[in-house]
Amino acid sequence: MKKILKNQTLQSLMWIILIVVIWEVSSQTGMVNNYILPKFSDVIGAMVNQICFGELGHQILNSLTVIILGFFVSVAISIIITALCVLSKVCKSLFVTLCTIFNPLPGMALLPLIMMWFGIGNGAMIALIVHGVMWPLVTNLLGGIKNVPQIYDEWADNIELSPIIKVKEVYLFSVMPSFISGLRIGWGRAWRALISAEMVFGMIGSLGGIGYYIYTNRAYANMTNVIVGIVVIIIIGLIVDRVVFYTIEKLTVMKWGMSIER
Amino acid sequence: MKKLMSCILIISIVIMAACGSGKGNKEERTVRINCHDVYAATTLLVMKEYKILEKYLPENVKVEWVELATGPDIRDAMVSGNLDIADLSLMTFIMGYENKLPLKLVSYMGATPIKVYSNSESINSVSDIGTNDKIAITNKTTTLHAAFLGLCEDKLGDAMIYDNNLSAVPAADALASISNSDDYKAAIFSFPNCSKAEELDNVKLLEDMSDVIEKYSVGAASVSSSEFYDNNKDIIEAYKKAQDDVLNYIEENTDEVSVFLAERFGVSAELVKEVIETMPPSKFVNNYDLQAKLLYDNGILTSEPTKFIELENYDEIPME
Repeated sequence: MKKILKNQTLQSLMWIILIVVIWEVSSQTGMVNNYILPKFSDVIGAMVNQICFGELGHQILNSLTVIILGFFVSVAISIIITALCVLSKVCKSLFVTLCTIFNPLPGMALLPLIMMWFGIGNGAMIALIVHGVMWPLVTNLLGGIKNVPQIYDEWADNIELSPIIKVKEVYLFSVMPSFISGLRIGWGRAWRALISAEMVFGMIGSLGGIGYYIYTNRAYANMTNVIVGIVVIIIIGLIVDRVVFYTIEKLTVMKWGMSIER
Repeated sequence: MKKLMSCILIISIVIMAACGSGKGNKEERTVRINCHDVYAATTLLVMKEYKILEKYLPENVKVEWVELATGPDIRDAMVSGNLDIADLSLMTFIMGYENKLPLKLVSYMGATPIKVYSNSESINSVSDIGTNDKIAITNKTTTLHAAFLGLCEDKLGDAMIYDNNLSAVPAADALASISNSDDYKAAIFSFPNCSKAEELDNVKLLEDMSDVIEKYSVGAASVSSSEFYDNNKDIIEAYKKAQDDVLNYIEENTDEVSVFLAERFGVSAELVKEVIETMPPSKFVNNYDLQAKLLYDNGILTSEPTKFIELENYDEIPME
């Protein structure tokens, strides 16, 4: 019991098990309409079936492919913008203004414009992801750079570090926590926007993605598969947050002693 | 302080009790009916406009008109008890019924002209549509979808051949997109949007699906939630009488109804009249089993569908 009280992961697991038990009991006993909330056991069975023998596996891959591609494009653009902001006060003024305007704007609100400008293929999805990731990432990077102690800058100038070494040895380490934080926020926004857009766009590429899977199964009144899609979205979100980003943090900020997490 | 709190509590209880008992002397009921602006729902549009249903409803029954646009939204609203009677595509009803949703078929409402168009020079028939070409459609499980499945089955031997090419988009956006860009290589429109598509210079007609529509009974139906149907037989009977009245009214006053619908749809009254004469609203389902079989044979239904004659309320469904 003491171990559970000290360990957040075990506590989270315990709550999840409790929710699942309540879910299964309420749907098994008929307390909840099985169409509105299918049984948990049916959902798990359908998930295994759909991933192993159905099209869900391909659609998960499709969504992940689009978002990873979008992420790379977003990070590249964000780094370029941040570098421009460091080098030029005019650029900094411009992009700070743009970040203020576009950061709060949900991607789905821009969707009609994105569809007109980028069409309805992968280009539009990547544009949506870039919008979701870029603004918080640039904001966080600029904030991280702003918080680099001036004495580090002066020290680097004093020992005549070249700009590239200065960026690598001073700024990179200093802004890494902000960078990862920006990536995390951007991931959440981009993932939500991607799934929503897949539900709106319908088929993208050859299979459509998890959002399309949910949309199609809802149209065909298959709520079990709709919930399978939702559970898959949650699982992927958790894996990315707790495994991918945690691993990056462990290899960087935690290793460098810059994180308060143990 | 304690006395003040006690007074407030007593007053609150009295007020809540008074509000709760405000049902009036007779039991008041409301029937919530969905009706949206499509030709297939002409029966409901006329019923609503000319207040025909109110003539047949029992005393103290009010009508509340709702306008949900997509089949899944309407279906889910009925299942959750927020809608009583609705215009659903027969395909959506079949899908819902076979997935054990508590729905009952009240009557048929009728079909609508549905056509396939393309803006591509290389596409001259449906078979020319490529594997990666997008086809605009308002939504899956609509009458448009059902008709297209039937067309692909009959002409190409595979109803699902282009199912993954379908991209859900509102008709207005599809019209704009197909005329200005090549994002969509083809689009499926129902009336009145098909007449709007025909006005576009770079868009050509690929297929008129009238034959398929008749063959598979592709159209809209009046559907009710099972609970409402079983507990409000008098309202259902009133609805059926109103529907008979509406169909007679449309037949006897085609010009007037054409003008009314033309204003709603933004097309000419002559065009509407032509459609009413070629595809009039009807309350009879003819080929329910064929449509259900089409869905089952192509994996959209996962178990053998219920035969029309075996539907729970089969004896109460209007037959020709």
